[in-house]
Amino acid sequence: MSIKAEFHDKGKAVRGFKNIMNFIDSSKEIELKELLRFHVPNEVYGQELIERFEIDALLEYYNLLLVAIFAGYIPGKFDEVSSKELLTIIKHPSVVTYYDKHYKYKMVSYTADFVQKDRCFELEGNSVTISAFNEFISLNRYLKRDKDVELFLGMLDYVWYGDNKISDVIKILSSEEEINMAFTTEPEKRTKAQRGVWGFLKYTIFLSQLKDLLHSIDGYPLLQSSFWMFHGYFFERMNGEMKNIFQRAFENLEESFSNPLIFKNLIKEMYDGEAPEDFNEIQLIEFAANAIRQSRQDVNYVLDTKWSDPLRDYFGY
Amino acid sequence: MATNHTTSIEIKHGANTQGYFSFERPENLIVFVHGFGGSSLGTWNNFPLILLFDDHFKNSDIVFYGYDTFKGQAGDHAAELYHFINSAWKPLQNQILPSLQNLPERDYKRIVLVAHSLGAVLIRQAQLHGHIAGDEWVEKSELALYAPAHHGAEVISLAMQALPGLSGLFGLFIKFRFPILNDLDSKNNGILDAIKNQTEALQNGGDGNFSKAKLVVYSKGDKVVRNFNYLEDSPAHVVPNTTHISVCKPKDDFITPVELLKQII
Repeated sequence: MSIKAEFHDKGKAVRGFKNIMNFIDSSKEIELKELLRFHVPNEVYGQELIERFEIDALLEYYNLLLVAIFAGYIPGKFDEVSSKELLTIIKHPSVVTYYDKHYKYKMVSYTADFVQKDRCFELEGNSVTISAFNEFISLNRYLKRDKDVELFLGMLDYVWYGDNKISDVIKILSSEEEINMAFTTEPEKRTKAQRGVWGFLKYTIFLSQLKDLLHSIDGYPLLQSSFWMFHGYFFERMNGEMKNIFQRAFENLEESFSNPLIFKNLIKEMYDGEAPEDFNEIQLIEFAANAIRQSRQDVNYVLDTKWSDPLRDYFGY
Repeated sequence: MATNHTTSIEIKHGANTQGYFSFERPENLIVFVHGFGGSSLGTWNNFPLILLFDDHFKNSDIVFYGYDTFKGQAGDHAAELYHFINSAWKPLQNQILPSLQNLPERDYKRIVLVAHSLGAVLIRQAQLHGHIAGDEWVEKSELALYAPAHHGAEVISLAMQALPGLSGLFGLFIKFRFPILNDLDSKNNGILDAIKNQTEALQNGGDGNFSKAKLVVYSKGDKVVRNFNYLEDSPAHVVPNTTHISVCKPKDDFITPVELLKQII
């Protein structure tokens, strides 16, 4: 199966699989529990953190299989080999505590439920659903591979990078001068907070693209819900915080770009104070206002918790 | 519904490049290259949807190549694209097609390079690199160009139209401090002139058939690029009621971009 070859049999997922099976086969219950502990009071870093990310990648693969079923990309139930593997891993007590208590990620519970109850979801995959699934994979890759987005998501999860944290990113967005600095500083010289601004920008682009994707599969509520819940760690678990942070970020942006100085400074800097004939300040101001407004609408659309309802109802939670 | 191709395979060249490899024995490799502010898949809207379900393309491997237009010059991206195409010619050997997919090595008869806007500059330069190096794939390559920016572009209009969401805002604010936009500025002599001069010399010398685009598509009244013939390219198809950005984006009620590409596949 090409999806297993691509998402399970290589990279972090296969290392996560081999590692966790080693724990289980060797009955190293205490060691596995320790690896998957809550990070307070004993922090997780270094090799342990790497191993956790690898196990996360494996869990994500199982979730992706469930999404693929709802897209009709693969037949309506898990095959016997995948079911057996999945139940061995996902239903292990330490793993259950990890995703159900320490770092609540409901999509894993849904996947476990689907397999454990031997459910079957019959949908003839069609060009709309399968294409959406392929696009979903592409968007996820974009998130995973971009270092600025990784940093921004870490900051959203209240990770501090040295002295830099999410509030520093929001502060930069409130100042025309700081925004200019964040975007003109050479990539290798940017502070973590400046990189966080880039991450914010790229993450809003992801959210806009996800909005379009959700819209494109309007007739498939379970598929929409599975896309959303796949990102449930942030969208559901941290929904309130995300809404709050994005609201402040957009308010700051609107304020910065409504400042008439912003375009006058642009002209001064770029054209030595003499704007070319075709430089239309009114057009640029309108463009700025529209761009911010549209992004804000897209983020609000995606962060609506209604997207969790279809899966919740399907599984009877 | 059975598909003719694998799932999306990550290709570690460029940025978010991905491939869909045919389960049949493919004769063609089709590589899509986006323009400024675009992305490997997003630029092409319904192209993946249509191509992957159309039997017309079942004997083609399809790659959507991506690169980070916020970083680097056109020359940088063109060189990287060249190295990718060179590797993709034998994808299994060069680990672009993972062996885990259990598909045989490819023996392509043809490579079709499909580009939008700035992508046209990159693929022209990549072809020239390949020609200088004497690479086998060059003579088997063909160009399909949508709203090509090989004559340059109005960079303010391009940045405003091409950059999605908030990036458009920042793009215009920092006045296009993207090096690649300098390369596209039609007032700037640089890579565009170099490519044109080399291509003209090749065509005048009776070589360079590969550099004559088989398909050229204009957006009528394009406000970003200038629509006039490039050397010995095929005459353009002009599509009304589109923009520089939308002309390469098929959707449910607009499949002209795909129909035009099918004519040369």
